[in-house]
Amino acid sequence: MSRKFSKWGLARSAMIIFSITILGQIIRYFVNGEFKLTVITGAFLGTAPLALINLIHVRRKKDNTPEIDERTWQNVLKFIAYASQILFLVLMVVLTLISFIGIESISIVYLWIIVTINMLVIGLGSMIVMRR
Amino acid sequence: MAVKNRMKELRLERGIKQIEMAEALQVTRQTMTAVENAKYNPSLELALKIAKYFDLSVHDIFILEEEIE
Repeated sequence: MSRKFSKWGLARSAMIIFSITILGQIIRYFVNGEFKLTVITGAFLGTAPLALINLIHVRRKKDNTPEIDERTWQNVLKFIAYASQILFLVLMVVLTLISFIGIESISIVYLWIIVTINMLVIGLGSMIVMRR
Repeated sequence: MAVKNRMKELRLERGIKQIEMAEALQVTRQTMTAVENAKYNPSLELALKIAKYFDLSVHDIFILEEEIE
C-alpha cells in the first residue's frame, strides 16, 4: 500500500460507509419503493467528521513518516486478539447470569447492542493503540 | 536472551536525527524510540533496512545479550 494512499485511511473508510448507505437506500427504493433521506443525512453526519478529522491530521503533519508501520500493526493485532477474548468472556459471564435468573429468551435488540459495543471497543481501542 | 542494539550510539555518532532516520526507514518515530531502547525487536526486513542505512552488517548493530558477556 503506498504511503500517499494509506494516510487517507479514515477518510476512505468514511467514504465507503457513506457510499454503502446510499447504495442500500437505492436498493431499498427499488425493493420497497421508499427512499429515506434521514438515513442519508445520518450517514453524512456520522462520516463527515471522520473525513474532516483525517483532513486536519494530514494538513498538520509535517514529517514524512507513515501513520502505520510493522510495530503499530503488531500492537493492533495483539489488542484485537486480547479484546475479542475478553469481550467473549464478559458475554459468557452475562449469559450465565441471565440463564441463572431464569430468562430464556431475549430481544434481538440486545444482540445488536452486543455487536455495537464489540465494534466500538475494537474500533476505538485500535485507534488508541495505533497512537502508542 | 534479549537483543541489544547500537542504533542510538551509531545515530548520534553520525549526527542523524531520529525523525530523519524514521523518514528514511518509513517507520514512525515511536517505533524508532522503541527499537533504540530495545523495547521492540524489529522484523528481519526492518533490521536489514537499518543495517543498509548505516552501511554495516546486521551483526554490527544487533547483538544477542549472551554475546555481550
